[in-house]
Amino acid sequence: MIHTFGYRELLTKEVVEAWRTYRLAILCGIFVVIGIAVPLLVRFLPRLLRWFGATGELGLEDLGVADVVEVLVRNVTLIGGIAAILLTMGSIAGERRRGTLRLVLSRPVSRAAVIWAKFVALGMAFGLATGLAVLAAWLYSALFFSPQAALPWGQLGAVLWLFLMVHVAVTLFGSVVAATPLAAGMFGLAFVAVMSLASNVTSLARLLPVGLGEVARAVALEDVSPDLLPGTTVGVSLAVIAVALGAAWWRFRRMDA
Amino acid sequence: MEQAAAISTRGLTKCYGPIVALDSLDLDVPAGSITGLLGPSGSGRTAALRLLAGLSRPSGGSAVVAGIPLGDRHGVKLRRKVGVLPDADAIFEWMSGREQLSFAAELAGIARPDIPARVTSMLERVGLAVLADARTSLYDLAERRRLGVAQALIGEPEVVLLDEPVAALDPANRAELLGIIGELRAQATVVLSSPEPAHVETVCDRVAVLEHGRLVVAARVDALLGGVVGATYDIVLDREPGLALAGLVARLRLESWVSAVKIDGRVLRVAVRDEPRAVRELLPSVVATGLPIASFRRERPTLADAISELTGRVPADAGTTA
Repeated sequence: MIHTFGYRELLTKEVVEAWRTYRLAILCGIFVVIGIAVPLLVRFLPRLLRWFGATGELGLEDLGVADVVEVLVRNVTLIGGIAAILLTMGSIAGERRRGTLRLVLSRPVSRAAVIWAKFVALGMAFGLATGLAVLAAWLYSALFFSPQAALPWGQLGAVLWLFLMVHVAVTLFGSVVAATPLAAGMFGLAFVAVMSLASNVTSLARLLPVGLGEVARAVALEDVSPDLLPGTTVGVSLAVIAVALGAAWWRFRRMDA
Repeated sequence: MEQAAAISTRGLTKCYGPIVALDSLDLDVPAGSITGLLGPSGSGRTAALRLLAGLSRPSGGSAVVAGIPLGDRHGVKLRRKVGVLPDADAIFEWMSGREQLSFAAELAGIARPDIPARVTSMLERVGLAVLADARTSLYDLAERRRLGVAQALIGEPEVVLLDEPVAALDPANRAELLGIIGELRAQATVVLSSPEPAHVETVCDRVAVLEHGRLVVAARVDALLGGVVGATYDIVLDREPGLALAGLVARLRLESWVSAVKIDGRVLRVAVRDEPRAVRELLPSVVATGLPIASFRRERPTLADAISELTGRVPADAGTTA
């Protein structure tokens, strides 16, 4: 049986720490910038290019909401994926190096609570950041192009968040097994590399977490092609998260502090 | 009469790969005592404390701490009864001292309404009331160590494990922190580790000496000081001694109540094994030689002397003690 003694206190500590160390503010700031910049860029890209001296037919005159979604998904998965690795890599390995992990583990808390509190706090941070990015993009898309239905964009945000949480879970496992935050970060990057390689195989990509970007785009535009298997992709991603967290907990509970 | 053991280990062993950090430790720590775990770096002190705190898993043997056997199944139960100051000066630098203690109190399971008063009282006890609301990143080493001790004590644990609580502190802070630890006598069972015998001697009732992971000596401090080594007398002469002193030294060395005689400049140092005879015979013997005496002083034996006598070695860091 997995006990979670101390979970509430540890979660509070994680959230307050993310706020006090400005990690939450910086993350949200980056995502809001992405959310605002993408529709702005799509709307004004042809004008910008002409301002910089481009002439003739640019082929960019009919950019629209579909392009906003495309660029938003690409930016959030790329920049957000890196942010997920950077923010997660020190969560266990960093605290172990600083000695604060021993301080926590010497109290009556369960190790499952430590792992779970860190994952949930990161989930909340990335949920807020992704929500703000999608909300900003939705508002500016309505302003520059046409009003968009809220539900598909909400689904877009949820799928992007799931994509980031896969990276968080895998890097969290890396942070448990690795001796240093840098090594944990490399673990997360290795996962990204494997996913990138797998994405070259189309039939595989649509099943793996790397396929979530395509699912996010499709649900936002309400254009789910028969080639996509959103349920399967989401299911596999959830399974990856579950396996990564389970492995992290299993290793962590056997580890000397 | 000895009290029941608050900590009892049998064959407790910890290996890191091929390295044996702690080798079959058999130790009983009576409830309410303050026990010093003494030994040089790498002697197994930290390994022992981490095992007793449930922070690491034993490679062999067993231990019972505050009535709870070591093991995964009892980890949380054990840590409810144990307060720990880990070896590193670990601190959440984004918290204030008050927040750090409140966090430790919450994790210790203290009822929320009781936490503010308990934290304030603990901050006063360790002399951090003025800095209570300052970020701990501003704390110096002594303040960090005080906060560390406070967070170990905040849950009013039955057993307190302190890893080098006064290492690298200046004499004033060291004395004050050892005083705070001394106040725990009879309230909790304290085990503190230190490489320096003087720290252990100051505050501990008992001492356990570790070397290369093995227990070398475990005894009451007063028993060691009184029973293992006798007193030393320092006789300072008024002028450079001549042949008379050589004759005196030769005579003293033949006496059964003398264990060692050394000459250090104008100081004659006589270690005795039979104190009553020394009191009767030493001073008259010196006076009889006609040597001019500037002072005659009885030096108290130190724990370092006792351990040296028992193990045949000077404790590694004995000379560093202020």
